[in-house]
Amino acid sequence: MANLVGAVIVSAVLLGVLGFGFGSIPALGPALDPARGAWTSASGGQPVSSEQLHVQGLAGPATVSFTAQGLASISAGNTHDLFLALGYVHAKFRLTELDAERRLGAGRLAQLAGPSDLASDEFELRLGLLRTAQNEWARTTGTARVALLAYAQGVNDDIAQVRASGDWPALFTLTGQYPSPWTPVDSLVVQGVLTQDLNYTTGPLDNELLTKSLGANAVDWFPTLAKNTQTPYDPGPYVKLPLTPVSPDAASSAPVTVTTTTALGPAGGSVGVAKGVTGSRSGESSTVAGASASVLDQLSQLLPYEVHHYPDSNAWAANGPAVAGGSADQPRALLGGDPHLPQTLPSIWYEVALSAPGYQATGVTVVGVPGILLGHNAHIAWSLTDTQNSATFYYAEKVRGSQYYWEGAWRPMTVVHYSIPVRGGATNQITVDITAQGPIISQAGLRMAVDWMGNVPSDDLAALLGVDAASTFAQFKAALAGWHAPTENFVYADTSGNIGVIAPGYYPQVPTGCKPWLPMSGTGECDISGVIPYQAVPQAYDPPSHLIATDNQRPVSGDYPYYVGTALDFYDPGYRAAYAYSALKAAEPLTTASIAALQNDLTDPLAVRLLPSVASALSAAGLSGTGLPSTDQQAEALLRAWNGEMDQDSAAASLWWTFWGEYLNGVFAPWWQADKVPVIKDRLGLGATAGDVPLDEDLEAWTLGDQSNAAFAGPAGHGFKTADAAIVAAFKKAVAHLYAKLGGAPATWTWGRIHSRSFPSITGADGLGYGPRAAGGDPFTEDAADGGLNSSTGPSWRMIAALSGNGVSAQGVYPGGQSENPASPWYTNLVPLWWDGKYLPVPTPGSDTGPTVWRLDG
Amino acid sequence: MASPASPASPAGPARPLARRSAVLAAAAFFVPVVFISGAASGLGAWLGAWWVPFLVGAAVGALGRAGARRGLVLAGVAGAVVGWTVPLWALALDGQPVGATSRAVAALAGLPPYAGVTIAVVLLLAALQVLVGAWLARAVLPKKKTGEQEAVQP
Repeated sequence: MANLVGAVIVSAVLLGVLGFGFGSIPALGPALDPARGAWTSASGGQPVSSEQLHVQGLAGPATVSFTAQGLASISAGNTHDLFLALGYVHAKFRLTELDAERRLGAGRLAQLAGPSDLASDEFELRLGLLRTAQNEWARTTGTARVALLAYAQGVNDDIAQVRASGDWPALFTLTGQYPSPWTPVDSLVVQGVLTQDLNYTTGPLDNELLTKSLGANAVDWFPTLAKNTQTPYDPGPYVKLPLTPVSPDAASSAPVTVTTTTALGPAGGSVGVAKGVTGSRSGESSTVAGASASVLDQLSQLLPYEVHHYPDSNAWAANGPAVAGGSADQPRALLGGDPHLPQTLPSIWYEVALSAPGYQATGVTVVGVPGILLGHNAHIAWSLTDTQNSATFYYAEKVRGSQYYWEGAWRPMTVVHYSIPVRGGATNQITVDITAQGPIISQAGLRMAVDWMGNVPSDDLAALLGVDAASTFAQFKAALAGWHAPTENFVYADTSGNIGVIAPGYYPQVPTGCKPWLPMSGTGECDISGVIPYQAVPQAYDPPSHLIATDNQRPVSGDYPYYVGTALDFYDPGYRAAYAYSALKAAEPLTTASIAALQNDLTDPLAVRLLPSVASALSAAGLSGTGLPSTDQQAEALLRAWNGEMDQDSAAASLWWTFWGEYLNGVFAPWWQADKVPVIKDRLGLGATAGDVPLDEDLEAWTLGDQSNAAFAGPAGHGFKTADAAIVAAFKKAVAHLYAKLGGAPATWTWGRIHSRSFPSITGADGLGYGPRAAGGDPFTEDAADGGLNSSTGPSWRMIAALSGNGVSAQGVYPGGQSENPASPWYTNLVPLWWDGKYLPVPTPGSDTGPTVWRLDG
Repeated sequence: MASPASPASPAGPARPLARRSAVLAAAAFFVPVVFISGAASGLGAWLGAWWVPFLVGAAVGALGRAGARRGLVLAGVAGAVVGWTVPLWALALDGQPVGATSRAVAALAGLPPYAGVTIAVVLLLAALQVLVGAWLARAVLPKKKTGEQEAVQP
């Protein structure tokens, strides 16, 4: 009997688990079925071949040709068919990525990945990317509407074909979660995800905790204007114009397709009551700090790229005598661009040339969005860097039941309910409360709402399609007038030899007396009163220097009459911008090779600036020895002879970076410890570590010009007293650290032994990423490497465009490949080129780029 | 030194003949079982019926209970494993990157990212189903008496 019971139970369990899965274990029976399971994804890994494909919805024939490396060119008879074909091609090569990106933005990751991504889903639904996208779609008209609908049709054509063949990408088969039809809202959600990655920041929350811990020192060490020398691309003069009213937040309003209830009283226990709220900033500071910490706690559980952290893109332009020319077919202008983003496999980018009557553009597209984001057409070329301005404001709300106090009266909050399906778990229900400022995102203590410019409707796609079709700077500027978020520096060059830059977007302003760098009162007096008018946003056109360099530095000087953020708003410390200006100037007359050299440059400008001071301090301490030198003296000799290049074979690079970290930590850590800064809440935003931009700037400025700053003495006054003493101590600690870690002589401590780059898979599967591989660079080099000693953020696309009377020619490369299928020869085939600093010609619109051609018909 | 099959052997040709006969008889019995279970498993996989190896196991388990000769379950396991190998082999012959796909699937499943891992898991699943199916059949069906069992043996 026991045998029978055992056999029945084991059989039921085996078949049940194999057939339906259990918890996070997928249904392995159908998933691993050798003829129909995940193996069918192998077909997507085969080399692409020429074929005739039937694609529903096309009005006429279209062609897609591929180079040997997989770069695509699409030609169609009209823009509808062009964007339909683009959607189809994106889905053919990136269906998993498409689905993952929309799931991320729409709060549906847990349905695919299980409970581990529930925190991300909850946050995204509270923040409101989905609500914003739904509202944006409701007001989208014209060419953007046509493009989004056509693109969605193209994606759905591929989904239908895959459904019919059963050849799903492996992730779908393994999880049993298959993609639903693509909609225009999904494209806008993906656009929102990129906006969030570039634009959503926690500066005011960090500042609140720093101010609470460090007191007056926080004001000094995290100032509005950086202490070091900056090189804005728009140095003025400026004009102060009246503010432009800002549209209401889409995420603050009732979503179009989600059931919404407006609660006048406590709504089923879903809306709590904040205790101890007085409405007085001084009386509630600890509560505000608590709420700030609560929000930072939530954010710490998100995926690494859901909150903006690293300011490391480059875009430069040069013209006139700065460019090597002389004859009609030689360049009149040059443009180089390399946006630094999380480097993933597959990449966020898909490289393609698009051609239809009235639309000719080439470069990189964001997978999920129609249109070329960075590239060129027949007349102009453009690239982007993040402007980094303050666009995320936080408000401490005064709440009673389901009401909040605003503009002198208690008002009902808008309440939205969401169900979040969780693979291997119970469906989670959340309620989002929304005030006039925006959604409440804190989960404990005082209610904190966020007013984020990414939630304001922004017709980015129409702007982008306008840019793609522009041929003059005036048209370029006009097209970008409707671009509101994320705020970007759009760098421009044209075939007439003009260069320019403009940073369209919303720069929110609050009434005088309010402090947008901290959480503000939500009772109405500090609401956003408008944004900087488009005519007054940072910009430049054909500057006398014939050079424009945007490297995420503060784009304007201290004279600029509007608030654009503080040093804590992730502005780059300015090292790359200053270095770019000087390096470009030194290399004049510039060629494409000059731009390529700078994009791959590994010089750390901070090291170059500070090495003389460091060497002087070490020499004064007797560490500059000869004969049979000590380890310290060998290390000092390496550093003294170094040129500042963070090459992977450089031992001095290891010494420098380790020293800088020790130096910064040695000066600031005693203060952090004494004042109990809650670093654990946000290590990147609150930690006293190298790469904390304001602290880098402070220490640089003090080392060069304020060697006795009180910070060196430490909180008890028993510290180093001077910069020189701190330098010597940090250097000795760095040498000891490297010796303990690497052993042997200092000359063997090459940077590549402790520093690497990785390109992780977006699935999170370790085996599907690239690296870690020994690499050069650091956060301050033009070829930036961010994210720690195993960097995974950096140049996500490198492009160089030469613009002459004969048109535009460009070359580019990104670290990855055009296919997301790990079995495809186009999965990582571009990585070696990128790694070696090489480029491929960017396909020309309207030309068949390779021997492999898909002929699409409707 | 003479081999057992040598004409000089006192036992003569009777023993090798008997052995050959036994081997042939076993092959005549097991090869069809392997073939049928393999074909059923492979066809089932092709139709999306991943649970066919379990039925194969139940069938060989039932046959065993009905007095069929020993080793039937192993033949079923072998057949199911072969039956599930053939579709993968066919994919590879078609030029599809089965190894790379196997590696990717292993990585996505959180297993060590080696091609052999997923293939091993797949074949293990086939074998496991046969064994559990056979166990269930043997547990459900009454055991035949020895006499009856002898009667059906060749």
